[in-house]
Amino acid sequence: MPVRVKSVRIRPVKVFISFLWVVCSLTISGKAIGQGFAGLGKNVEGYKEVKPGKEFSFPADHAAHDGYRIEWWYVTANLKDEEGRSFGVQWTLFRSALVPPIIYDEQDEGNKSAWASPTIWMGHSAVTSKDHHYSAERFARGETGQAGVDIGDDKERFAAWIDNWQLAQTKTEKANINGLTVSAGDEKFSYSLSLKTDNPLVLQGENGYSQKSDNGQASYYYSQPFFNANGVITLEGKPYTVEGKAWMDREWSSQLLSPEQEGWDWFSLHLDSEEKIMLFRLRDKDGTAFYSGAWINSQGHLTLIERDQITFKEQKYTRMNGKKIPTHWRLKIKDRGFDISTSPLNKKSWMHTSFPYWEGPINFKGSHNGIGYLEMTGYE
Amino acid sequence: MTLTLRQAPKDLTLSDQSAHYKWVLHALLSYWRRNPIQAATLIIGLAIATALFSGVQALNFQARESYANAAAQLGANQLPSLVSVDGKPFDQDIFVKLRRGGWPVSPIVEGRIRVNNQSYRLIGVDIVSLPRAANITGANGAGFTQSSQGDAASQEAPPFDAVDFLTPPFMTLGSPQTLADLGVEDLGIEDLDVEHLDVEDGAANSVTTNNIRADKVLIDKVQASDSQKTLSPLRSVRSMAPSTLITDISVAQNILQQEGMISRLIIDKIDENRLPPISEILGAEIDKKLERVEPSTTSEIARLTDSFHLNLTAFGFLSFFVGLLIVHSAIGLAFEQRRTLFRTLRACGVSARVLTLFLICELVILALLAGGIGILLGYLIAALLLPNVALTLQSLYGARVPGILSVKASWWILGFSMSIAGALLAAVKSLYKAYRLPVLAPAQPEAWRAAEKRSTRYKIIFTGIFFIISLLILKIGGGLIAGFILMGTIVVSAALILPVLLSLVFNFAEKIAIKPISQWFWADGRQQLPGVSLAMQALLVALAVNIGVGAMVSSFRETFTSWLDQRLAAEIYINAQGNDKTSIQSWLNNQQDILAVLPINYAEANFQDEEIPVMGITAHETYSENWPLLSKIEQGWQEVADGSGVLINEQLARRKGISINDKINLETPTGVWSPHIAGIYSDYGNTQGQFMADINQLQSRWERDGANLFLVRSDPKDISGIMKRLAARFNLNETQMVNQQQMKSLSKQIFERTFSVTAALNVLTLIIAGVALLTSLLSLANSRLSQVAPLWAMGLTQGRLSILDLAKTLSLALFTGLLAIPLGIILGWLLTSIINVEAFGWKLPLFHYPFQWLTLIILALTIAGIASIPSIIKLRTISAAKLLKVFSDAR
Repeated sequence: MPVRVKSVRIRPVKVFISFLWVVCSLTISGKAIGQGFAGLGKNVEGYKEVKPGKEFSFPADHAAHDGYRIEWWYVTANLKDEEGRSFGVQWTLFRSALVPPIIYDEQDEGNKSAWASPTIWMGHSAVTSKDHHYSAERFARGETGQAGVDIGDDKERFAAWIDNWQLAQTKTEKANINGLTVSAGDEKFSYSLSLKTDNPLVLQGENGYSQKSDNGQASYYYSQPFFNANGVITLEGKPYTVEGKAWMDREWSSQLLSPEQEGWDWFSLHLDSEEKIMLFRLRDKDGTAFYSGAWINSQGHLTLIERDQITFKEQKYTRMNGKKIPTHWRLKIKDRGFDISTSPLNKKSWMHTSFPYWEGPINFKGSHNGIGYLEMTGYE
Repeated sequence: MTLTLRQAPKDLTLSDQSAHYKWVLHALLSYWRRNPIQAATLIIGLAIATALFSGVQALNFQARESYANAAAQLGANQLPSLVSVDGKPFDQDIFVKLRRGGWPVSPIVEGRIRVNNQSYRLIGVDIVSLPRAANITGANGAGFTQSSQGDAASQEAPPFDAVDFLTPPFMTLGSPQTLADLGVEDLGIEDLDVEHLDVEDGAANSVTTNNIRADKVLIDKVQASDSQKTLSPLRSVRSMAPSTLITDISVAQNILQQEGMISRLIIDKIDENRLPPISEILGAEIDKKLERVEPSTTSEIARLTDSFHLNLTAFGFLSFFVGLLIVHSAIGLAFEQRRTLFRTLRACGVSARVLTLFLICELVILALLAGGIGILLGYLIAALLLPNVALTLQSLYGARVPGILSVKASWWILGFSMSIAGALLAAVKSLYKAYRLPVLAPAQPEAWRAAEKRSTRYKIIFTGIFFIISLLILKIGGGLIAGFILMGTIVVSAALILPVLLSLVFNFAEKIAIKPISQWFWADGRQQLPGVSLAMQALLVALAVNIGVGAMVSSFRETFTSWLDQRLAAEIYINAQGNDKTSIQSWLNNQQDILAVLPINYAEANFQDEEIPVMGITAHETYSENWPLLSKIEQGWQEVADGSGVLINEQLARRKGISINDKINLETPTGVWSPHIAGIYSDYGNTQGQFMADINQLQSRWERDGANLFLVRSDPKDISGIMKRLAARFNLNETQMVNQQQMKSLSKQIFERTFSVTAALNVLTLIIAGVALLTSLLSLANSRLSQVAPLWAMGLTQGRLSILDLAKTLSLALFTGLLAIPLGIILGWLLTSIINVEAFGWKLPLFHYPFQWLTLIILALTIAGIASIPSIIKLRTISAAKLLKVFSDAR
């Protein structure tokens, strides 16, 4: 089917694009697909715009930002059990508007159904061990309560959920997002971790304004990279008590990418020195790339890394699902004397979701040592 | 040079051979050109046989396919679902709670809407949570992928656009037929005004809006409503069930005014052991109000309608048989008359094998031609009957079958193979004879008739054998197939013995005849028998089938309507499930115009390792005077009332071999109860076994309090008043209150429709027999000249002779008709007492309808009369010279 071939070729940056694709791939009319993509690149009419200089306000900004097209709550964790076995855990909730909300106000007047909403929710979860990678997905829509993000009536208790998966505060906390439990499960795996930190949130980019291309595409982006995680992972009925480090990302936007961008390599790194580094590269069709990075010290102070100082180099590839994926990397930040080689815990950390991609735990050695997470999309 | 010389004779032989074969085929086929009537007989016979068979198959196929589609819709054949016990919509919060508890459930909102004064079922789905197995359109994978191993590539795209389905202006899916009924085209831009069927106050609560294509849609103007509803743009999807519309859940909730409510939840396949129990998630209070419905692989409707389809299938097969008799006669005649030709061909060097092969070729060519005509005719028959069949099925069982026939490739294959197989089957004997034909045998057509006479002995022997087989089957065989085989052998034996019986009748008549002309009349009739016996056999089978099936359908109508009269003795039936039963009961008890209130409750008992429903009734004369019992012990009702006896339905009694007075053990929640059987009641239409006990027994032994159903006795004139007050007081809708009179009039309408289908098939089989008679008489007309000429010479006028001929044909038809009556009675008995019991577990009492017999005999005589018109005209108008020529030829 031409539609499907196209989907493979254009499958763009990061999972949220895939997410839109899930919706679009269910169509047979080229019209809808055209709309979906044209909308991503150009047409943002009806959605709110991401501009520099936003004043973040917590806990309100932990909740969903309805006027924006796309948003996510993203947690990754690098864990070890009592016998030293390594694991990785991923938990993600995506929110996406199929059409600008105004269409409902104009065309669906009087429909009070909780389903009459442009919102689609998608959850991804995964557990990676040395030998296995388990992944699952969930979908929901509208304002029924099947999925959602809420900060409570008193605005003091954050919860994000889809079905029986959730990322939620167990007790009331003020502005800082802390004291979370994250849980998910499917037929063969489940996990429940508690996440704690005393560090403040980190605003990415320029005070939370994160540029994604030279043409003005951007998002609002903040992180909590300092979580200590502990809990239980159950794989095929067998429980493992684990602890380690976790990283949470929050991002929302209406027009994130330029149409030329076709893939994404994204690293979150926990250095042994308790420093954190976030690096990503958006690959253009013409072979060029847009780099971005942030160095976060152990107190949570963020310094932007100059784009021209960053280099990414694929070192080893792994064949899976008929695709050639660069699973080993060499990363450099020249002006910081940072030069590391990364290797995955499990080369086959493939997300068998409606729109597949590679995401899994890594460790790295070189000028700095540590652990982290890698996400790669758009590889053929 | 040498090489060419050597090869030349070989080449010559080859071309010689093909020319030779061409010539053989030409010689064989030229016979049909010279005898167009025989060719027509063969083709018409085969075509009609194929037509009736394939027509009936098409009807059955179409109906079954639509049951399968209906059953598969939304995964009902694969996935269990949760519904509320009272059948009412429930809060969608239950959906959210279950999802958040890990249960893969998907909500469905259902209701009825009215557009242009026609009612449709509107289904709202959430395609995002809809399980993949629950295909809404028959296309696979309309839902989002929800598995841990989701594989986008294996997902088939549904025939609509998911984003358009999920976002304004949304879309509504319906079958092409539904779209046609709504008067819209599949343009994707149609908006229709919808009237919501508001069952609560009985009056339709209308909604209108400025629709885009008002010129196409007739709107039923009803009183204005605050809200305006419009169906979203329509899109046709071939596989959808008739009169059903599917749209997004948000649209359905809005149109049906069920915001926040859902009708049921579909549960996706999952290992439920790893999930918390539903009762734990929802709490016992809510859990009690919900009920899990397991998927049914065979839909209830398919089982209920089996009886109707069995009827049609029996008709189809018997008609095919009648058609084959015609074909057999035409082929036999054609082969016999070509004996000279066969002998010549053999003498010219065509081997017996090649000749037989060519004859088979010829038959296949004719069968293909006839099969093609037959399939087209069959399609026509099916298309003409389908609306009636569809209406019958819909009103009888609520089964929905589209009124438009779809043509399938498998039809053509089936039709052609039946036609070819039928032709070959009918020609086996003739082919064998042609194969074994001695080159030097006398080539007289009369040899055929002589052989026919000789074979009388064989016929009697065969009939005897068939009869013994039939008896053996009846004695030892069980099962539906045995029933059909038995029917087949009886029909074949009757057809075989018919010429013998007719000849006995004519013999006897000849003996008692005094005048020479009447003696000649009977003798000549007997002499004519071999020529028309096949046509008479066809007439016999057609008449017998009519009598048998007619008796079955009429008996069914009579039994069923009087049974309904008995069963529906009370005036009003109230289903109180999900309502305040106690207040309904006390309210009913306090009404002046209500004569009696009879509560009913249901429970289940374990009986011989099966869960059997037990109906608890209240002792009252309504039962003892009306309830249809097949057999009962004296004081039967008394014993039911005091708890020492129970009643059992016929199907369970037959299945378990239970008779009255037997003691049975029923496992109840309070222990084993051992009542005895006080009576057996007929329970037509029910596919399950059932017991009936006194309601007090149910209350004490099953610890069931109250009742779910109330029968209300009142004066018929008070019915509507009581129902109105009930509706106003307790908010009961039309599905919860049934007026017995309405139900009866509906059942009568249903049978009228069944009758029109049966009557149409009756007429068709008789027409086939008429065609057979017509062609036999025409082919006899020429050879009969040698019998007629002497009488003419003795002074009988041509007019007198033709009247005698007509009288002969009519008396043959009359005797055949009289013989068809006992055969028809036997067939009717087989259908009602053997096949019906095998198929459904209950026996249908057989009634006889002498008036139907009389009508059929008159019809048979009329057909025979019409069929003999051409040969009579021929006899009347034949020139004296031709009659004289008989004498000169004889010299």
